[in-house]
Amino acid sequence: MMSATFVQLVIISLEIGSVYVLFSLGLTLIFGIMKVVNFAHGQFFAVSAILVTILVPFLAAHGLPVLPAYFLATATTVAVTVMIGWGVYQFGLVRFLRDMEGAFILTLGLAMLSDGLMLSIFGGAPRPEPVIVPGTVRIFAVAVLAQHVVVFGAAVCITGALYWSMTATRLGKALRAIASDHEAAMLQGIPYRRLSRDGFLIATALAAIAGALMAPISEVTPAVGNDYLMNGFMAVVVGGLGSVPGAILGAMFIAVIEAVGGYYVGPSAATMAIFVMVIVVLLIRPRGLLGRA
Amino acid sequence: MSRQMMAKPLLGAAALMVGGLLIGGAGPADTIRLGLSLPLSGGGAIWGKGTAWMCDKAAAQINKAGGVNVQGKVYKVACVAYDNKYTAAGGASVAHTLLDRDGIKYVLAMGTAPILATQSLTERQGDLLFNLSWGKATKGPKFPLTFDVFNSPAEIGPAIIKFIAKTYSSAKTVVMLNVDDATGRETEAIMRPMWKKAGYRVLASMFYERGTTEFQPTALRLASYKADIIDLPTLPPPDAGKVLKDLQTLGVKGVKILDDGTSASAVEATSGRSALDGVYMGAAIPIDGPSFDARQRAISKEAKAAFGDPVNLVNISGYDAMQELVAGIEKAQSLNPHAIAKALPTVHFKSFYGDVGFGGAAAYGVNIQPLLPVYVTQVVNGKLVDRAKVAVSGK
Repeated sequence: MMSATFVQLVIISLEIGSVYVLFSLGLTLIFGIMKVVNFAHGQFFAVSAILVTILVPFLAAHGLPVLPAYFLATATTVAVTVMIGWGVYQFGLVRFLRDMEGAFILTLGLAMLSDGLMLSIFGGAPRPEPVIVPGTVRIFAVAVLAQHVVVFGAAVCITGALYWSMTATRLGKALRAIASDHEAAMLQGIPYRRLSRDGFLIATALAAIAGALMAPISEVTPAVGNDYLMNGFMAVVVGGLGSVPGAILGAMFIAVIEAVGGYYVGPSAATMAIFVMVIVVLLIRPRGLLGRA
Repeated sequence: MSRQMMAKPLLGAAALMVGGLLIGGAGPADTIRLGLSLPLSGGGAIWGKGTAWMCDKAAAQINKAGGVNVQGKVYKVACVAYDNKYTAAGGASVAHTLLDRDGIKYVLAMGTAPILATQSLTERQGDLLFNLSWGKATKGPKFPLTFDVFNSPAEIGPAIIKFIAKTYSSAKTVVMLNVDDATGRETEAIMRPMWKKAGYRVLASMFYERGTTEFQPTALRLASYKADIIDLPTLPPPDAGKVLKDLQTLGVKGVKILDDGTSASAVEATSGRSALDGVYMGAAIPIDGPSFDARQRAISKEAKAAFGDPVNLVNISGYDAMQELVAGIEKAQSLNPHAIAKALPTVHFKSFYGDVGFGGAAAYGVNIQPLLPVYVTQVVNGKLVDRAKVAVSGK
């Protein structure tokens, strides 16, 4: 019979992993298509989370039940965030496609700028989290926040949908062709710039959805995106930059170390263990677990 | 590289430097400026912004009352704030900007790591430092130009432990969780012996890295010790909220303490109301309680509207540092930091809490500590309830 602690750690690993998966998918998508790392990815996440915490109480105060208010707020924030993403791409990133250094400086600068703007507009205090799915559920006699279960379910659905769209749709196939060899793809008539923009906007939407999903269970401050960026980025690096299955594997890898290490050796040592394991993985497989040479 | 290509970045850099000089801390000669090295971004921004706001509030009141009179010359006062990002590197950068570029002689710095970086300059260059750190390592006779501005664990710890011992006589065991940085390590080194001295068994003392997003494994580990008391001395509000929420999900009962808990609303935003219920705080101000009057409540209300948090132990330091400085200058009748430092231990100043003098020789070896009251509060139904007010000894 499995011990309660083991079950608890498995559930915690899955919960944490699903959060990192949600965050990492957009990062890896952008790298796969544009060959750049978007250091402002966390800010899209933060904007969305903050807007949800503003819109849900606003809509609820105007008579909408909480769940519809949450869905409407999520749709609105994703739309707003994608519009911001469009602006970032159109007036910035389009000039730095496949330019790692240029995009690094641009996205880092954007992250700092938007941090300052959000702090000025929304303040630094943690925003009250909307309670969407209250209470706990019992899984194998272990109490789990219902909202965590929702996030896990959403992560599975979103990952599945992304995986399907990448393998079964024309857009997905074209994006994979670009990721594989953008020059060969262009020679086949695939419009690289337009598809890069579409890929970036999909990644932005993923960050926004992740932010909206996390708003009820995570801290909501302008700085929250930066905190998730570190682990999300490590997940992508471990899994292999640009690989969707790699991002999932990397996220689960980090989550298991964080959960098991956090319990048995303490949280600080677990964080160090994550860095050590990332170094070990990269020494053995420099392109990540599922990265291609 | 062509000359034209080189010219652009050079012009940009020049523009930045000129702009920096123009918008920086430069001020008129008849203005006394208090430099503020605060976290204005990241998780600590709520404390930094509040402290800057409270400093401005004190400056406005002092200026409205006629300014500062030094040997017949009247000066205005002003606060100049920069973001130290709560890091040693940020602290060093801000210290150079304030002291070397802006020529400011008096600095209030927040956070142990930024203070360590700032203090190495202020003590060497002969500038006055108001210390807003949780530890003891940066206070004492070795630092004659450094003064405290608020109650830290050396004052809060004994008050809370005494209250807990009296209220929960059957509690015997404690587990602690701190952030793994200079603040957390120093605080742990202060609090852990205090618990032991009071007769408690510290079952475990854990640390976590700032920026941690998931606290479920930590909560599970905390719960596994089945301690009577869970002490969280240095957790910022969002982290404290997450830990409390996860502890609640695990069904953990027992006494929970946020020694640095500055307000119920900031923690409740993440924890939810029920997880915070019954938690004790050491740095919150029961502004609606009998210890405070309408004037103080009005400032708190204004603060809440301005930056989202009511007045608390931390942000009041912005107000008190300015008042300490002005009292020291008026007593010394000099702008010289050494003269002010000599005068400060003997002055009484108009603290946010009321008329306050200095003490603290027993804890720090010198009288650098303003003798502020410690409030032990408990969160009940989302509201702070005043449980004990302890006067800090002047010795």
